[in-house]
Amino acid sequence: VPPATNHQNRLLDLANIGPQEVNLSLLQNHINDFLEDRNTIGPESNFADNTFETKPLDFERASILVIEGTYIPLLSNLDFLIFINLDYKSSLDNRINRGRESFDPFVEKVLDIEHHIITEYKTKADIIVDVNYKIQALIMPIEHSRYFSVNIGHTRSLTKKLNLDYGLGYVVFQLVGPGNFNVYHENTVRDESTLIESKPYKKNDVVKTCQGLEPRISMALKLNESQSIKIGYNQIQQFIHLLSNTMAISPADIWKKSNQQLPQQIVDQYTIGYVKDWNKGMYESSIEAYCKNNKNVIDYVDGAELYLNPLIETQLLVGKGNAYGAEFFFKKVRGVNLTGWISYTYAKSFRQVNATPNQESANFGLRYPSNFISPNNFKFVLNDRLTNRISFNANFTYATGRPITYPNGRYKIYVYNEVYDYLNDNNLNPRPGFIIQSYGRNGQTYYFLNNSKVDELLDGYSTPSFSLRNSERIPDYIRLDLGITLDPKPNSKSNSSWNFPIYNVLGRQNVYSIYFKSSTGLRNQARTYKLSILRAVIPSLTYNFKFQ
Amino acid sequence: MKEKLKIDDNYYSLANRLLDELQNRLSKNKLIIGISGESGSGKSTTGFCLTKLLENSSKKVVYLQMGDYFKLCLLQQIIKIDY
Repeated sequence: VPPATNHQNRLLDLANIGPQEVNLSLLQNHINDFLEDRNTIGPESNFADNTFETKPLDFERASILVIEGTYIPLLSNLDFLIFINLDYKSSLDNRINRGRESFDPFVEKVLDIEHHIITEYKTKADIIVDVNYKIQALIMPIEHSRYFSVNIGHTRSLTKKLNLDYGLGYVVFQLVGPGNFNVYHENTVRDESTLIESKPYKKNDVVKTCQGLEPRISMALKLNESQSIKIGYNQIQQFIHLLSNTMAISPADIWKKSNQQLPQQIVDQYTIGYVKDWNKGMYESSIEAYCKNNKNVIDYVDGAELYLNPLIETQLLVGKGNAYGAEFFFKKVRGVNLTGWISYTYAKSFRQVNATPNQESANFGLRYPSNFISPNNFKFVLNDRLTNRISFNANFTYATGRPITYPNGRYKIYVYNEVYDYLNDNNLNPRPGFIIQSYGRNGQTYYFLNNSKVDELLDGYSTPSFSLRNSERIPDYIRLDLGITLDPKPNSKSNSSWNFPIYNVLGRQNVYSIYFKSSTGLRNQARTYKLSILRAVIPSLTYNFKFQ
Repeated sequence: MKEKLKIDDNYYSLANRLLDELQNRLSKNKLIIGISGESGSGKSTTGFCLTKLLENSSKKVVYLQMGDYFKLCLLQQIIKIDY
């Protein structure tokens, strides 16, 4: 349809705004035609007289196809995507110059909806162009640093049964140039508006120095031939921080070095363990418990954008954490046919991010579970030689799902006066006090928003509310793998074997991550997506042989 | 898409920088470049300038605009039929 007609369609229903109003499949067909050197006929609209024509698309001789449009990132086979990062508020002058649309509040509403739809496309871009027509860095700049450490240690036997190991380390970390490093106003929350400058540093100029001591001590007490106890304490300074929002290590993870805004992480760890051998070393068992206190752990603001963000410090929060847990382990070390081990780990880990002059709090300053903590972890490995030639093995894993923050509700935003009118029109009595325009609290007077102020906000829209941070969990991880191995006959000259393993016998669609996406871009319509990797039963067959 | 574009020099210098970034890909037999952004962000103008520069460097380019591919949504199609 030509442009003005499309505008009329949008006026009929806001739900029409989005990728669904574009014939993306036809556009995709034309991309395929281009790739296959097939000439075709394409549509062409005329803005001036709101007409619609056709034009030949000479793909056969073309080597480059340039496509522009808001929803282009949804198409396949794009080699290179340029994203112009100018939102509709900043582009007002452009639009006035172009004079394509009529300027009314409805158009601004349309653009607001589009804005929310396409913000997520930014992550697909190969190049981002900023408001000053400058190309933002495609790759986050390489950060250079120096690391020095000195260590002394000593091991001595206090008695025949008691060994002591202790030492002290001193580490220095320096973040150095070349590069530009962001400087923010002191005693203000870090965001775009409090950025003073991206200060350039020359090669080897020191941007930030962090240093600290790393003491350690451990003691092992041999109770008798089969039992021993060990206890230990150490402190570690960490100057590189992993920024990630998935459970598995992925190429999109970011490693960020300590800088002016991110101090080094300091971990104090206390451990105690008990080991016992049974039946002359046939069985081995152990219990180990630990407790950790973390200073300066890194976490993220709500809805953080980490990927290719030149102001990444504005997305990060510094807090404290603590963790504790115990591991129970039992192993059958030797045996005629049956060997294997079983382990159970109970672990807890928490974080707390309080508000400081440079950052807002996370989760209202309340303690919350760490992003990756899985409290119950059970593993079981078994190898059983059924006959001289056939052996069977099994591998079972159970882990509690990791914590996650879910949207749990939705607020509809109304204009105060409209609600008041509605109550009056429907003969509903406003609550006592509802008629007031203002109220006082702690000596301050607060005013209800009037129509025009709310119009500036989100009138007519709803907004999601979320559970407390990491208060929910993704489904538990359960996986069983089985395998059978066929070895050669004892007297055979061949040195080969067959292996038949089956991965994920239970066929569980274990979830690695859950995320929510607006299906149409409208903020009141979100869908839940589960990310599973290798979600099927996967049998395989392996033939092994050795050269003599 | 037939419309009058007012092009200021910023767009040609942007297109030049984009061309630099694309240099090592231009030898590809069939290259597809997408330009996305919000309404009024300068997609059409950037696409136009980039196409012109590519053509000036003896490339045969086809330029498509999503604005030509708007369709009636299903709901509107039904309403139209009812009318």
